[in-house]
Amino acid sequence: MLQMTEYQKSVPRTSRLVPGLVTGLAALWTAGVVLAPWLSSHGSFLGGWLRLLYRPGCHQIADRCLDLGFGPMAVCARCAGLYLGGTLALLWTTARNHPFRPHPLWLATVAAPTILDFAAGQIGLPSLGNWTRFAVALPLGFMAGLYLGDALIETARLNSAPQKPKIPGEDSVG
Amino acid sequence: MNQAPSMLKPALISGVAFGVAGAIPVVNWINCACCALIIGCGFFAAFLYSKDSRAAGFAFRPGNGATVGLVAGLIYGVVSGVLGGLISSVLGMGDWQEVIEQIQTSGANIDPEVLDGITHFMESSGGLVIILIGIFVALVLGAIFGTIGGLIGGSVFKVEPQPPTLENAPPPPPVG
Repeated sequence: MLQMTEYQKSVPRTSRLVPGLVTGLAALWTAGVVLAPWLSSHGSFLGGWLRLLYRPGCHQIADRCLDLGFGPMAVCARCAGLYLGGTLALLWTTARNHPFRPHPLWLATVAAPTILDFAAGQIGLPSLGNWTRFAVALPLGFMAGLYLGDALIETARLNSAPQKPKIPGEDSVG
Repeated sequence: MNQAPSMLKPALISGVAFGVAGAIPVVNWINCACCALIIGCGFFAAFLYSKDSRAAGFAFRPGNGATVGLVAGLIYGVVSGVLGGLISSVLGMGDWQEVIEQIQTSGANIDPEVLDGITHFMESSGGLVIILIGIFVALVLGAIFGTIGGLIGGSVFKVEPQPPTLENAPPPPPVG
């Protein structure tokens, strides 16, 4: 049976800045995927430039991108699933302030369908539909986000200044 | 006392191996899936370093993973930037033409003469500008995604510090 390990190591509020900042950036990055076609559909040239920003990490083939009614998204369905999954996991980890580190076998398990679909596409075999590809990539992104959240929280915890123990009656001295 | 393992070896192995893969035209399509090659580069470097750390009896934490992933990502950037630039300057403009087409179709208000001028400059510079731009882009992407891969690897392959055992504990002070 695959075992999940939950850490009870929370981070002091002051050192939650870095995980919070990374989560905010991830949310902005994911929002930009939808924002780019929305801007283009409203006649803004910014949509095109925003789309270029995602170019190094995605082929952006229009047929393989999800369309929410105002044109193909800035990245393909698979990348959209990975981004959304990762952002959701980071939001969840940061909000709970407790890292959750799944067993590495889970990572391999959720990565397998995406790897197989990618390989099938590369060798010319029929590939999954856009929404299925999105759904298959979502758990992989979520799992990667959980590990990323765990890493960020642990790094923040290790680098946070040790809290001074409270001495009873210290405040009243003076 | 044991010495902490060097980060350079795993970063070099991973950076060079993935950098070469990232420069090969068909293989580098893997990067189309969220820069998977670069994330894989940082992840693999973290795996190698965690193995070395475990063997040496040292702790391996996500921070170590991030550092070794960053170094591996930068090495990836240099290797794939130089090799990829050389390949694209031999085989043609490649990606740059696609970028120009995308700018033109995006509706951005850029003078076509300016775009023509840039394209002409890129072609007349004999590929050097393409190589430099390629290295710069690969370095930036390598640093960002290599660190992400290293952080994920650091969490997956975490090695907790070993508690002191009787064998390696310091001898007790003489009594009397």
